This record gives sequence, structure tokens and C-alpha cells, in this order.
Amino acid sequence: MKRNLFAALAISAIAAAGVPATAGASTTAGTTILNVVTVDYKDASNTTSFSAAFSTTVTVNLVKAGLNVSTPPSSANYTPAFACAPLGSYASGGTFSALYALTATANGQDTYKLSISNTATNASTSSAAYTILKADGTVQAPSTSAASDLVLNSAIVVGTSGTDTLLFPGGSLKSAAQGGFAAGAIVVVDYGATKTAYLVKNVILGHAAGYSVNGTVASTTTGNATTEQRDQVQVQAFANVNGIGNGGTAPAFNTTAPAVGTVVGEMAIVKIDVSAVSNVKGNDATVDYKLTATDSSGNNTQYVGSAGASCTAGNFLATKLEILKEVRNFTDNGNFGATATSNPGQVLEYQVTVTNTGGQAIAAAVLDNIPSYTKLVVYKDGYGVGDDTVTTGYFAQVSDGVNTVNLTTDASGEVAAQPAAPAPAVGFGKAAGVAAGLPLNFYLGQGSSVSAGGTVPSCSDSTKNTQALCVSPLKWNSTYTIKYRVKVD
Amino acid sequence: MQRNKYLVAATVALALTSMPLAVWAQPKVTIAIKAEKEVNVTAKGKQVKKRVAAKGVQPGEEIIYTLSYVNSGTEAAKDVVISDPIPTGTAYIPGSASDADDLTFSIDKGKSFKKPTLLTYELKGSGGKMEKKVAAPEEYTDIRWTIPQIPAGGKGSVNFKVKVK
Repeated sequence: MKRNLFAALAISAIAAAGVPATAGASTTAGTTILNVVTVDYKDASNTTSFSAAFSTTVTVNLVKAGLNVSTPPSSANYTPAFACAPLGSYASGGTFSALYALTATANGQDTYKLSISNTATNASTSSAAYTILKADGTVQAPSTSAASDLVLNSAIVVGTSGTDTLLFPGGSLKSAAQGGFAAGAIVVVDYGATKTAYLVKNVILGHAAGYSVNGTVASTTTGNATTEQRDQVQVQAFANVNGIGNGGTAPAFNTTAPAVGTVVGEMAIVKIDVSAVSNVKGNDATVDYKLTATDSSGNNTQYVGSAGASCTAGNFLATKLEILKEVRNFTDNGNFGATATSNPGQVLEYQVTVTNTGGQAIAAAVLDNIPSYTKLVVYKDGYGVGDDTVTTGYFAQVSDGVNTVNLTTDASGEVAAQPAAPAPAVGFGKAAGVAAGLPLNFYLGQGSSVSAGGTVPSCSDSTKNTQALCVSPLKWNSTYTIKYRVKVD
Repeated sequence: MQRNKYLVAATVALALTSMPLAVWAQPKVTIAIKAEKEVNVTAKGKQVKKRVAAKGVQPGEEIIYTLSYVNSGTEAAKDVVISDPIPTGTAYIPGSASDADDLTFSIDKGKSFKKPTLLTYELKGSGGKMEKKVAAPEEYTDIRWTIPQIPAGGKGSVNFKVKVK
């Protein structure tokens, strides 16, 4: 009994130096569990010792799990949470874009199925597509509206090395050729209550522990052990490049390390683009979109949105063109108004104002006629310039509020007069003649031509298709003005 | 005379064959491990558990290790010690080891072995004092069976279970 007590104290002293680690939560898929048993014995005379050993291995399987869907990380120590991107107003045909983050939570690499759907209201067409982006915003997988596969890695930490290296069971991680962790990938390290995103800097794959005696035949000898070389993933700060995300900090595992048994999951940044063309006068189009991500078992599905609800992209503004026609007595230098008075022989000037108060209008054309009891006034050298007794030459002027172009009766004169980008055309027009009743055709907007209307944008720069982007000196609700003159018979 | 010659030759041959027996008599213990897991199968409409080879396991599953030994030698093996480190990535399941023989455990990677109740270590308590703790089964690092003797031709097995972390 006394001997036992001493023995107990001895083992206390040995063990006190190193308190056993608590059990981890999980193990990385592909980990080799090696069991080596040794038998030691002596002969009957108690003079000769013998040993034999044998080993067996078991491999840890993948435990599939759904992706964590969240907004992209914006700082160190963030707590992943999901919220649909804010709503906005977009020109009809414009594009809503939003970024989300998909993070693996399994214990190993899995292939996830992605698909996207959209439901539109008050739209003739709508589309939703997704693009997988790298950490710097460049494209990893091109935009698609079809289903696609996404391979993401995750693993369970068994330790850290230095300031920046995560350790995993030797031989458990997939190689680069197998789509394993690779430099530039985003990984999310779990610190318990919060998580931090880093970029993979380097990967060094090791190998599992081994033992030379194994198989199906029992052993009478001992063998040679191979020491485990753990897999290493070196990480660095995930800096904000092109507004994709922000890990916020560099690793410092020598002071703060993730707990053994916690998950390190690869993160994919997914950009969702939604577009719609509104087709109901006065009613804006709306589009709901939902990205679905399912693991390879098909049992764990997560959504950008939710199982029962989608996210809403916002309003794709319906086209709302307003047209106003006014007249003034040009000879008497009168003001534009709904009516004017004139003596025979005096010149009237008409002003047609087209204002876009909604979404972009395409193929915008204005058809007018030379008023009764008048003749169109055509100038030789420019609108209001030169001999006004000619029948071919300049007859009208069109302005988009920034640039002004004089129009010729055969529409040939204004081709060279159109401004350059970002408003590549103001408008064209033609007159069938100068007599009363003959048609006057005007083709307005960017991309217009001598025979077809162009786009009357919501913003004076049509590439800025949201009010948020259309900032001064650009102008939301663009206005086009047409002027022409007639002489009263 | 001729008969005597054969008799002498036979005696010498017998002596030669019997001599090595005295020299080579020794124990020869072979050891092997089998890793299995239990799965639920339906047999005759009933759910029953069946043991299958554990090639792959999931975290949280149990592995049953069976260590089989045979003394195929010509004399008894004495002081037989079967040692098995608890595999990395697993935790011993309390009470799962076969207890037919002298069973002890280690929490210091095989440096010392004791009965579970004697496996203690010290930890700084909430008051700052060092407190003695009895090691939890998941903290065991090694398991050992001591068998006093395995007779020539004798065989047996021991087993234990671990849970994959």
C-alpha cells in the first residue's frame, strides 16, 4: 500500500508538468488514425526478452455540412451574419450588384452546388447571375445564371506554429492539384465568439505517421515508425483590395491562437448581379433573387435569402417620359408658353421638351408636323444663322442640356456635330419639306442615328444607371429640348 | 553387425534431432490489431448492431480495437505486456477496455502506468492553489495489459474502444 502511494505521488509529479489537453471537437477528414500495439514478454527462464508490434490505420471521413452565408468580412474579429444587401433604385435595364460570402464549415473539402433564381414583377425580362471572385476582386469563376460546382476546403486545427502558421493532421489536406488550400485563398479562423479572415500565403503538405508492420498477418517482430509531419497553412492579413472585404489584421498566433479542434474554413466571395427591364408604364419593376448552396450530400442547403424568402434587388425604374410643347413669337422676342400670338409674316419658335423622370427610355423618337398656315424656316449656315430663304439646310436644334446640335433637313449635317463620349449622340432629325403638314422627325438620345431613336437615360451619363452613381455635375432625370421655327403665312 | 551399424546411425540421428529442441525451445508471441465499428443493420425486420471493419470513420464515431495474441512457441511466454498508445485524434471511452488481465493506463505518454483512480495531476485552482485532479478517461495517453503467462499454444485477445474526436 505504501509503495502504491509513492507511485501515485511520482506520477503526479510527472503529470503536473504538462496538464493534458482537453479533447477537441472534431478531426479533419483524411486524417490517418494510427494504432501501434506492442507486446513485450520473456521466456520461461526469465532471461531473454522479446518484442513484437503491429499497426492498423483508420481514415477519418468527411462530415458534410452546409456553408455559412454572410456578408463579406469587414474587419478583424467579425461575427458572421447574413443580411440582404440594401435596396436601391436602378434604371430599367440597369444592374444591381451585391457581394456575399460563402464559408465552409465541414471538416474537409467538399463540392457545393450553387444555383440562382429570380422572380420579377412589372418586367419584360429579368436576369440574375453570380460570379465567384478572388480576394482581390478578380474573377475566379465567370458569371453564370446556371448551376455550378464550387469546391471549398475546411479543416480542423491541431495547433499553430510561429506567428502565422496553422497546423493540421499530416496528410489530411488535399493537394493543390486536388483543389486544396492554395495561396491567395481566403480562410476564416474561428476564435470562438468571433472569427477573422486571412489570406493563405503558403501551403506545405506533410504526411501521416506510419508504421512498417501492418496488414493481415500477425506480427512476431517490431517495425519502424515514421513520424508525422503535419500539414501547414501559412496565412497573412486579408487586406481590402477593390472593396471586396477586409480581414483587418495580420495573424499573431504566438499571442492569440485558434483553439485546437476549431474549424478553419475557406471563404468564397460571390457577386450577384440582377437586372430587369420594366414594362409597365408608371410601375417600377422589382426583382427577388435567391442563391442556393447545397453540400454534396444534398441535405444541407443554405441560401442568400432564406428557405422561404428571397432577397429583393430593389426597383428597376419604369420609363416615364414627359413631353411638353411650347411656342413663342420669335420676331417679337416673346417668351415660351402654351400659346402665342402672331401677325402674318412673323416667325414662331416651337420648343419640345422631353424629360425622363423614370427609367431609361430606348428608341426615343419625336414626330411633329409643320403647323397649318406656316412654312418651316430653314437657315443656310446654322440654326438661326445665315440666309433663311433656302429650303435645304439647318431647320432645328436639339439639346440634351449639356451639348447642342443643329439639325439639317436631310439629316446629313448633324452627323459630324454629335459630341463624343460619355454622351456619344444628342440627336438627329429630318424634315420632309418646308410646307405645312409635312412631318418633322426627331431621334433623341445616346446611340441615336439618322433613322432611329437612342436612349434617353435616367442620368445624363447613361453608364451611371443609379441615382447613387449619378452625382453632380451629372444630372438625374435628363431633359432633351428640340427647337424649330416656322413663318406664319 | 550390420544391424548394429544401423542402430548406431539411428541413435545418432535421434540425438541430433532431439538436441536442437532443448536449445530452441522458446516462446513466440504474435500480435495483431483489428479496428472495427458498429453499424445498425436490419435483419429479419429488426434493427441489430453489427461489427464491420473500420476503414473510414466519422468524428464522433467509436472504433473498437481488438488486440489478438498467440503464443506459437514451444514454451510459455512470461510477463507479457501489451502496450497500446491511445491513437492520436481519438479519446478512450471509459470502461471499454477488457479487464480480464492487469489493466493500467498512462497520462504521460507511457512513462508510467497506474490504475485509473491513481492517475492524478495538479492544476492551479480558482484560489491559486495547486489542486490534485483525477485524470479523465479522455486524458489517457496509453493503455497496458500485463499477462503473467501465456502457455505455449495459448492465445487470447483484449480490446478497448475510442471515440474519434
